[in-house]
Amino acid sequence: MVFSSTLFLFYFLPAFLGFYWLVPVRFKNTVALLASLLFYAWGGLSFLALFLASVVVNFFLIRGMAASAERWKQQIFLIISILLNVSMLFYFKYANFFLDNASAVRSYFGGPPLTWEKVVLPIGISFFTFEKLTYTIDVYRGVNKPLRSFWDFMLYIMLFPKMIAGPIVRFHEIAGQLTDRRAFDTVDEKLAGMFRFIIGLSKKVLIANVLGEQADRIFALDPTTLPVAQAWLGALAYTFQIYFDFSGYSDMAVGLGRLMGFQFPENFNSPYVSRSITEFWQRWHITLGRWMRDYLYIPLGGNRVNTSRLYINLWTVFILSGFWHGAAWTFIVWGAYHGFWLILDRLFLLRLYRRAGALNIVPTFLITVVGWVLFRAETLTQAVAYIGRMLGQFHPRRVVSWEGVAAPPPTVPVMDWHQFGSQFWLLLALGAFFAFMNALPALERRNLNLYAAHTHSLRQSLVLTLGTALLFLLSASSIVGSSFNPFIYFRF
Amino acid sequence: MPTPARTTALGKRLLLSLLLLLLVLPPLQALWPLVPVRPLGGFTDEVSSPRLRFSTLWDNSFQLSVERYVNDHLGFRPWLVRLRNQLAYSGWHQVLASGIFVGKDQNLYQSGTVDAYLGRHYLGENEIAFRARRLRRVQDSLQAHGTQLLFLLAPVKPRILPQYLPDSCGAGHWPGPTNYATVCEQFAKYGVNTLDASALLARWRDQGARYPLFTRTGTHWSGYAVAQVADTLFRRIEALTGRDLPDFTQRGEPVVVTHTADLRYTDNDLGELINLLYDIPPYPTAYPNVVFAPPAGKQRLNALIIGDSFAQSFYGFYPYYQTLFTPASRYWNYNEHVYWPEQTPGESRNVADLNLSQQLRSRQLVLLVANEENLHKLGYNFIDQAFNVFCPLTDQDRAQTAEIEATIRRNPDWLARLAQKAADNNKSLDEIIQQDAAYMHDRQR
Repeated sequence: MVFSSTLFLFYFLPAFLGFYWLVPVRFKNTVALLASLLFYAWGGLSFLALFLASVVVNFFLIRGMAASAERWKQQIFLIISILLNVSMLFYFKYANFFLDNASAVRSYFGGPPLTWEKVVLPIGISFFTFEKLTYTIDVYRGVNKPLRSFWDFMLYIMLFPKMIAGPIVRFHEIAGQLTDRRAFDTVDEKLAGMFRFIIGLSKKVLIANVLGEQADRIFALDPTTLPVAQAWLGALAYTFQIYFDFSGYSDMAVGLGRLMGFQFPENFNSPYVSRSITEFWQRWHITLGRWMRDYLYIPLGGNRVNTSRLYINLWTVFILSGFWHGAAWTFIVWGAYHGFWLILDRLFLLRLYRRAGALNIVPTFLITVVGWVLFRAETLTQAVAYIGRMLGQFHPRRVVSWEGVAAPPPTVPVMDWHQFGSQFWLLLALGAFFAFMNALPALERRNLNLYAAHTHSLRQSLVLTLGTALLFLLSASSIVGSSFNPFIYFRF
Repeated sequence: MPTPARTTALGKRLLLSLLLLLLVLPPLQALWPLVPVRPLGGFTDEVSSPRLRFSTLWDNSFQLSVERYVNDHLGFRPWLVRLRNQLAYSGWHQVLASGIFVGKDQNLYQSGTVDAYLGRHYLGENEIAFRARRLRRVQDSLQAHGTQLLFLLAPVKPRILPQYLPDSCGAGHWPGPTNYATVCEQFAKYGVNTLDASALLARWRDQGARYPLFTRTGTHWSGYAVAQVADTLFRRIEALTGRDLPDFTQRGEPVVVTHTADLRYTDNDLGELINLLYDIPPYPTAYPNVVFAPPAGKQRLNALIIGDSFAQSFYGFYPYYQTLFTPASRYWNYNEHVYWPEQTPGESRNVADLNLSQQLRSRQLVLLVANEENLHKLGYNFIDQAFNVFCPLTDQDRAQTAEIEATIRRNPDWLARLAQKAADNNKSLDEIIQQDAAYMHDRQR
């Protein structure tokens, strides 16, 4: 059940909020947990038992860790917990990838290909694995005491707004809220949550989905025969699609959290106004960046190592980050690509950028766009060909007819600008406007205040409510209408 | 007297309640339809109520069914769909129904009709000539049994109203031959009885028809055009069959409508399909007052009509079939289903269940109707089926087929190609050889 579905919006959400707000405080966690269980079961009933078992084992392992006085015993519990969670993630998410590659290598050397039953990926495993790990490590480090209630722990892992697509909430960020949220149980927070949820919904439905249609269409074409302008257009469409899709989903999660009295961390902060790739990673998928920093980069030595080791660490973290996004070489290369630019930042780019100021947004954005092609492409071959076209290379495949006669060499294709329709162009422009408007510091401050404010005046609330209602109607009409495709009674 | 703080808190609660109301109103309307909502036009696959079983719950198909069912039965759904469509139409001049687009002056077109008009899906002269020859054989065989055959060629909207096609559809770049032109030429060459209604309507258009021959929001010829075509069609049928059919005339001035709601039958078929909040206004559209004289002393025909939806206009707009043909007459939609009369007790509605030979021999008229878009499916298999009724395979045919089979088997290249074809189609080589030989022989008959 995705947030932008009819079932969630009109049935699950109002029913849940009705129960959640009406029950006494001591039952709120129970309602939230039951709703989260239902939410998860709805999408993957067959994985529920395995998931719950892993949560139970993890809880008692950490209990055992907390009860141990000696550090070495705690370390054993820590290692078992990490191994358990990482191997689950590895098996479900990466088994197919490694077997595919092993099979390809074997075939290359003339052996028969491997056959195996494809492993199905449980929903949300990447996110909840990271959250279980943060709980384990935070408790081990003494940042937080372990939760006394198993149900609270389960709620932390399973909380439905953030379970499927983040943000990755580190345990210490909401440890206190799991037991007491009265400070945020106000009508202002609920209104703010509703605004935020519907803004996220609109980003996903009204912008990302429309841009995504064209991006899909362009990426489905043979990249070697794309007009250069169209290759760039496809990459740009995907660049804005992924931002509005992902940040929209995070907005919905944050908004839902606020409706329940939770304060989830922000996940996006206008990443496309970044003036370097280093800054980009402070603004894009912030919770993943922080997780990687706190639980991977720093344990590897962080900045307190020699220069060459630092670069190796950086690159390792980003290659793993890419791999976390998906089990394919394209993601690994995407991670390596970002790691490469981060190293260049450290080496000399940041110093170079200091002189150019806001102009740095342009090269940073272009680097990001090229990166998204790696992320979006089905294969590395396609990605390389696509980027080649963006850079103007033209090596179309020569067509040889059945009789063996070579067709005349293809001419450089030219883009038909009208094929995309005015809706696409307008939304691309709108997407660009919203993505870049925070390049003006005054606007950024104002927007951040609006987003993060805990109270609004009645007048502000009224204006926001009207805007929210309008956006909701537009989003709902898009969601409900997109599945309606009638045919005429008379066939032709 | 409430304090400002209490008023503010109350106001905010009210605003939150309003937002929540937006979430709960649609499901409430679905449960208790309190507000009348205009239903959506067009046809979709009805989603049945999901049935809960453990197996479907386990493999997630139940959940998907529920989501689809909930979506399709949400309260105010028609209004939400229309809102989306209206925004796209008003904002981007775009129609959100597949295969339909807006031309100039808000004229709606189906992309398939434009494809046909521009010569896409061209069958080729040889293929059309083959079918024309074969249809002529069928026509002669029917005639020998006292049954007449007539082929009615209906126009597509772009042929009659090309001036409203958008520039983007490439109508200015004429690609070459069309099925329409070649069918006209080949049917004339082989003497197939044909009434080219496309040419008729084009002539009336050029002479300045008083009312639209195709409406702005329709894809079929208008009721007005049908009334004009019917005059010619049934006179032609009378001449062909030598029967004096009941008379009908257009009496007085036609009824002229200017509101979408007053458009009849298929005159707003695309308009209904695009489901806007505000209908596209029609050009003044006319409905002649067709009056049928008492049938006393006249002869009604036992007719079999086989065709597409253009054939339905003659019972949908005006009761031509009902009045001029006997109750035993039938309309076979696409040669697949009996569509008219609407009730045929004790008789299958599925054409495949019927005995074609009996059906043909009991008729006085076989009327084939095809609009230009369907010419690439010329005859909807009826031509071959009828041909086989009148020219069944003989021992000589079987011997000739066997000879072709032997020729195939003697040719290694040919055999290799068919082996590949067999593998591609997951069939045995023998089966493919027999199939190809039979096809080749059939083309020679």
